[in-house]
Amino acid sequence: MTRTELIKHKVVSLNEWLEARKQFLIQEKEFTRLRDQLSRQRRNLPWVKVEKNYVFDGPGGKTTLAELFEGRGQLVVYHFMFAPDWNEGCPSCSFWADNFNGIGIHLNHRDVTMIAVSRAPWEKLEAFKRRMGWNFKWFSSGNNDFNYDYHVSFTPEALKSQVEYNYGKWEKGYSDLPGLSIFYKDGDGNIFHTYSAYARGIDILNTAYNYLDLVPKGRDEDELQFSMEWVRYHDKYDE
Amino acid sequence: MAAHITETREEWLAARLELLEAEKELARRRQELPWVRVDKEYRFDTDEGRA
Repeated sequence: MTRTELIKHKVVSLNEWLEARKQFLIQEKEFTRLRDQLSRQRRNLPWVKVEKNYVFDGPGGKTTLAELFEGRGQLVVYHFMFAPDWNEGCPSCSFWADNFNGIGIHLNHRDVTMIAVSRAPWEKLEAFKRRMGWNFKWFSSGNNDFNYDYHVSFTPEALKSQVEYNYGKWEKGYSDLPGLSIFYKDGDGNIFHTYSAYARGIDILNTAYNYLDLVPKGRDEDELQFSMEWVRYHDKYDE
Repeated sequence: MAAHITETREEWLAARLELLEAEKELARRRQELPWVRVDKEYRFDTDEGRA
């Protein structure tokens, strides 16, 4: 499992370590400041009014985009890769879901509702959710254009040439890709799309990776065929 | 929310890329930090006894 050998790392006295740590803290603080500045700029980005009446399918029947807000003003949608003909959601998205499952109740108290959306029928989403022990709400966009409009699903026709993903053109070859979209609903019921991020843009939302970045071996993925090759469904690591 | 300021996507992207560079640099420098050898024999109590 572990590929990186950590040999001959510099070992020092506590005093020397403190000195190095404090020097590094200056950079960490600069990074935090940059991040706060970037978050402010993100919130200042212009919005686009959502004109389509998207209707999703879930355990409660047909649910409109407006209803997904559950009376709150802000909606976070995790675009979970789960195509209609798959029997399991994407393993990497499942890794991300392990990291956001459970935060919904906290977000609710900042006027935020967080949900996942996939194209697979809601019955498949529910069955997989039960297996994984998750409790976030998960809706099917299998009967609307939502996934295509927000550039996380691609029609067989679109896949014949380059598709638009992460604000660029790519030869992806996948019908579904991950992302995150944010919506805002005003007092009159108008809905606006405020933000979407894809690919490494959602990296920071994976808490486990943030922890791995702190340990000596880091993510330890350099020798792998692709970065997340080691990731399994949390109930499949023993197989 | 009424005073929503429009900033260009280019400015935002430039800032994002600057942050990405800072992110990579931080990760590299963090892994270069020296370590301290732990010489004390700490014992902890768990539900399975002393560890």
